[in-house]
Amino acid sequence: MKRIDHKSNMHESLEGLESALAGTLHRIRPPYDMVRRLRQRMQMPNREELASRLGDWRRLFVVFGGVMSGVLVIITVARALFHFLARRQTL
Amino acid sequence: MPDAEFTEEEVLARASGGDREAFGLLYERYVERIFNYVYYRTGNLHDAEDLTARVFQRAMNHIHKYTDRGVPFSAWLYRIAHNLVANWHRDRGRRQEIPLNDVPVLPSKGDHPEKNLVRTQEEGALLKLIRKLPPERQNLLILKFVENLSNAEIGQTLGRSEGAVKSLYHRTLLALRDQLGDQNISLDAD
Repeated sequence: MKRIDHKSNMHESLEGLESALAGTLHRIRPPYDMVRRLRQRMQMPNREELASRLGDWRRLFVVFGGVMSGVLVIITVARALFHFLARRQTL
Repeated sequence: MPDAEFTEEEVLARASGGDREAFGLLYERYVERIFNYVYYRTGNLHDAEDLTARVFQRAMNHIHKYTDRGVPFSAWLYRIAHNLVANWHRDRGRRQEIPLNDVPVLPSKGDHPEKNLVRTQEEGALLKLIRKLPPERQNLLILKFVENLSNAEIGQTLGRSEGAVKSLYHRTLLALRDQLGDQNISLDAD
C-alpha cells in the first residue's frame, strides 16, 4: 500500500514537473528585424561567385607581378647601359 | 516561388541543385525552429542570432551534399546547430547560464501577453537546471516542449529509437526532480 502511495506521489510530482517544463520551455518568436538581418546575410554571394572573384584577384595579382617584373627588367637594362656608356666616356 | 506550390522534397531537390530561392524557402520554414533551439541552448539572444545565421550559412554551403535517408531535413539542420552550439560552449569554456533577471522577454505563441512579461523565479531556476543537463537531454527537452515533437520524431532527430527516447526522457525528469529537491525549489503548476 505504501509502495502504491509512493508510486502515485512520484507520478504526480513528475506530472507537475512536466507542466512546469511546458510553461518554461515554450516557442518564442524571433524578433522581425533579426529574421530580416539573417535573410540579408543569407543573400551573400555563393561559393562559386566567391571563387570566381578570388580567381579574378589571382589574375590581377599575376598581372601586377608581371608589370612590376617588367619595370625591374627595364630599370636593370637602363642601369647597365648607363654604366657601360659612362665607362666608355671615362676611357 | 510560392511556398505552398512545392513539397519539401521538391524544394530540397532544387536547393541541392544550387537554387538560392529554394534555399530561401527552407530558411523561411526552419529559421524559427533553429533559432528557438539555439536560443534555449545558449540562453543569449545575440549569440542565438549569430549561431542561427551560421547554421543556415553552413547548410547553404553543404546543401549539395545532403541526401534524403528517410530522416527529416530538420534533423540535418538540428545536427548542424548542435555542432555549432557545442563549439560555442567549448570556445567559451563554460556553460552559459541565463541570469534570473537577464532573460529577454520575447513574444511567445499562444500565451497571453501579460504572461510573457512575468518570468517567475521557478521558471528561471528550472531553466538554470535544464542548462546544466548533458547536451542530449537538453536537446530532448527542447524538441519535446518547444517543438512539440513526438518521441518517434525526436528519435529521428537524435538518432535514437523511440524507446530509447522515452527512457531518456523519464531519466531526465527524475534527474531534474531530484535536483529541484536538492535545491529546495518547489514548482507550482498552473
